[in-house]
Amino acid sequence: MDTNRLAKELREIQSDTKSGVTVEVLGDNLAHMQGTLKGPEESPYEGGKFYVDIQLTNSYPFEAPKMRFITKVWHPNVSSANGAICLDILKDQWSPALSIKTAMLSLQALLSTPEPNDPQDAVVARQYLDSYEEFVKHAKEWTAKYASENRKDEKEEKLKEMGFGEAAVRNALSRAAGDEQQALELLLTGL
Amino acid sequence: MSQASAPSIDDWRCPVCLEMLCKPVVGACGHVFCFWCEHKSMDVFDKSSCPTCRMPFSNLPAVCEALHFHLGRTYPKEYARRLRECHEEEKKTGNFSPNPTPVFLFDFSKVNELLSRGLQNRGSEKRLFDFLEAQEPMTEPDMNGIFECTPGMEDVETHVLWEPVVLNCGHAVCKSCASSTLTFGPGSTSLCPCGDCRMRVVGDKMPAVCKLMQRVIEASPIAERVRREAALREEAAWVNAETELAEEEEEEEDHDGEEEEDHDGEEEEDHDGEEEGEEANPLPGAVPEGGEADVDVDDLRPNPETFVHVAVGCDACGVYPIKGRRFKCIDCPERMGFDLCGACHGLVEARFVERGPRLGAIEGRFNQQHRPGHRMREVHPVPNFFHILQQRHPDLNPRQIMNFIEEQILAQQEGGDGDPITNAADNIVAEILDNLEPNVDGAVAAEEGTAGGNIMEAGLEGGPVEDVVRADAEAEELLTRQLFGDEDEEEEEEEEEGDVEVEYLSEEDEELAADARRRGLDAS
Repeated sequence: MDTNRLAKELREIQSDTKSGVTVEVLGDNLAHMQGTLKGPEESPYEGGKFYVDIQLTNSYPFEAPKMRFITKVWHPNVSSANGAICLDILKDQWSPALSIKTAMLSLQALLSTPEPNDPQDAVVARQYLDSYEEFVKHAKEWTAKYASENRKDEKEEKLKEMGFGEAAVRNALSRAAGDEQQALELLLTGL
Repeated sequence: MSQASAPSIDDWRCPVCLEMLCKPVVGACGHVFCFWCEHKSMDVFDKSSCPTCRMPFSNLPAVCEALHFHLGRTYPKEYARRLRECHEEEKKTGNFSPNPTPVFLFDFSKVNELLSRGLQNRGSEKRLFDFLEAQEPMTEPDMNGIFECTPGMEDVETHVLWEPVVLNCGHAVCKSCASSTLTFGPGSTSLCPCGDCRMRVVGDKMPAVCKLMQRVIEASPIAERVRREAALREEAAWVNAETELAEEEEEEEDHDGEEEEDHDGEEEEDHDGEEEGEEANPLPGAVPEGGEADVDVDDLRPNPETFVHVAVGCDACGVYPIKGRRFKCIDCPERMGFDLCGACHGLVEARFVERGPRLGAIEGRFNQQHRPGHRMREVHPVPNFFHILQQRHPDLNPRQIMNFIEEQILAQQEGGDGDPITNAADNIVAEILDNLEPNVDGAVAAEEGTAGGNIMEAGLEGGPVEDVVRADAEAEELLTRQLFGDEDEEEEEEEEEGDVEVEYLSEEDEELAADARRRGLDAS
């Protein structure tokens, strides 16, 4: 892996506070990161904060980063079950001139402009095409339920009061897709 | 004209590694990358696309000496640091890139010494880097020394570049000079006009102007003069072209006749080549049409004219991977090996005859010093895993096939049972073997065990596959004999094959081959 380039990328992301995209390294392994992105305005995801799991292979940047939504998202190109993403630049359209940040920004753009004709989640895509209003309603519900920043903060505070570190709490919460009970279990089992 | 601003140090950043460019190469789209970044970005199975603009291309360009020298003279310290880093990295991998030496920087009495050692100054990199580092940066680009166009036309002298297009050999020519002296696209017989390299001009169309280089030229104090001269040349070229066109029209009939004759000659040659190929490989496989095709033994005999030599590139024109005939030097000692595509093979031979033993030597893309007297051997196609899957699924593109193989491996890894690569290989091979006649199982299985396994590893790592493939070279030759040798003897030889093979293979290959032999036995 090109660690020089990665270090540069991370520095660049950290210095940029406007894009609504953050990325941080989990633990001491550069191959595993976690990113967040803000739900785009005027989309059903507005007001949400979405966590993304980022894994890099040894061939990065010559191979696309593996990205997956940790936060549950109701979107035609995101699996409602496991967060898998269908986006060309994360597959065969990846280019080494792209970066983790540009990939995150593309995800943000994907939330604004779904591609129901190239779906990852067939059920959501069908709903998007057949009854768009229901789709919007469902997507908004999920945003409020799983991606609302305020709710997450509340939970975060609670867990932190129990004596867990901030990073650990955030990591556990995002891995549990915002489920407080599950996050607590993760923290207790030390996974 | 308004004084354009020269590229700043930030403009010389490679879009892939985000560092200052190191040994820059210029793609046909005019975008610039480090040599290694471009190489690593390329697809080992099929056409590649430019990391910046996605324009498809097939040839790895050679290092652009003009930009290389310009960076060295403008940012000597930074550039020396980059060259050192690159050299350290190369020492780790054992594969080297050329180190074009700015000969004009050195004492001219040493030119002969340099020539005898090979122009690329091999073995004295440290001296070169130290020398570079000690230089004072130049504030003005050295226009006459570096940004020169030698169009190879009788009536046009060497001049400073304007709107440079960089050919695949790394040499730059003015756009207008290129359009009046060179032809591009399929069937082009143009050679680089620089007078020195004489490499084939390749690509579907004329390369786009390298904007970065043009900016350097436009920002130089002599830009206005260079632009005027370029305009004059272009005008003259127009006039020439018009008169030529008129003459051509007059001579049209004669010309047609000549052309036809030429054409016939070429065709005959081609045809001969094909026949030879067919003799060596009696049954070139036709690609089956439609979706999933039954694998027939005959289909596994590849067509030497279309065969993809995965992850092997031509060291003259840079085509990567080589499609069709491939020749390999058996005397070049470098780890990367020296290979030529069918079209460049004859050209390099001719160059040796023309230039003699000293000047005829050519540098490969990876700094191999290929000299007259070196022996070239044609490499016969040996299908590996990838080729077999491709034949079985003609509807899939190479990337999809690799994805499929990767998925198989991942699935096995998740199962966590034994060696994932061997297991995945087992599954696919077993499936293919079911469709084969029993008496060739041994041969095909052994073949898969070696080449196939390695290709998959390479695919997984995405690293420089060329090494891996090279490791197979010896096995490859042997296997070629097994698969395509004398057919009558094939059955008799069958039992011995295993033993013979082991002598040639590395330990790892041995294991795989043993595995494959077992499978062969099981199946029969």
